[in-house]
Amino acid sequence: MTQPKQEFLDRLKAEFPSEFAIVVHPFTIEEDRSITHFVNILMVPRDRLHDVVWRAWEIAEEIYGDEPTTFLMTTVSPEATAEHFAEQLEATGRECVRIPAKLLSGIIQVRRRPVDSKPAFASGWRQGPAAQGLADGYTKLPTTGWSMHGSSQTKTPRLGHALLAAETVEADDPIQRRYYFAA
Amino acid sequence: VKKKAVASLAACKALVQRDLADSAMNRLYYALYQAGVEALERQGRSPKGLDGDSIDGRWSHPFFRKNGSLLRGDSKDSKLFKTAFELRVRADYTKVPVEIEHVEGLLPHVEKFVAQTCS
Repeated sequence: MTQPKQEFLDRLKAEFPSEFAIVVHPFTIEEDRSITHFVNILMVPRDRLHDVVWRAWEIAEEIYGDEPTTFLMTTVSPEATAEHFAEQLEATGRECVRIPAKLLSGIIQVRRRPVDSKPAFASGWRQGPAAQGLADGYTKLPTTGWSMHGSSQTKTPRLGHALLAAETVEADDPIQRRYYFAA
Repeated sequence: VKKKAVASLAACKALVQRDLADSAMNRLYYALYQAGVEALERQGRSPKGLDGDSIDGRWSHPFFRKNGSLLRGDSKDSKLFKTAFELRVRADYTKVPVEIEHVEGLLPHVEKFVAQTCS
């Protein structure tokens, strides 16, 4: 990857909460032919949409200095993420589920479980907060079982788990966060 | 250009009141762009020789993204132009809508910019 620079994306990864996902895709526009990519910072709470992208540009300026940047960058709320990015995430080759926007509100609250704890599927949803199931310890998304059955209390964590497990990058690093490169 | 900047800002506020975020973002960006043009014209500058991306003697959008901080001497202004331009592109050309919180987050900064450059 040459653009945007990996260093820049690594800084975003280090600084922003792990709930945020990042999609980078090619993008061109007649009005500015220097633009080559669009960086979308997903799952950003609505009340932080402005300050997150503002901070992201501060990071970009620290890295790029006066060098012109060739990407655009905006933040996307959980609702818009659900509506507009599921197909794109699937296109990366990673499985993803389409989640009704009304079910997404709880997902941004999740935290990863300790790496050495039991997987949520083994321990069951009811043995702890739903967030425990949303773990980075998974390296693969189970291919079946994302149905909506169960009580209303289990719907959000099941779906949330599906999404975040899908977002977990296949990696040896157990704390690696979620990145997508649709390019 | 000054009148256009002020009118674009007023249109943006009216659209925010109606929760029309994409349209509001378009007007907000152009309020900023037009105020930027006003600032440059007051300094007696023209695109010729300064703006390599200029077409037909008009200031280009990339010029402000790259040099916005020179207009008021405020280092944050390039970031302001970048952020506003990006959201305007998203509003105008992509399927992902701009959200009203985006517009509301930028509005005070653009209001101040327009007030200072067009007063």
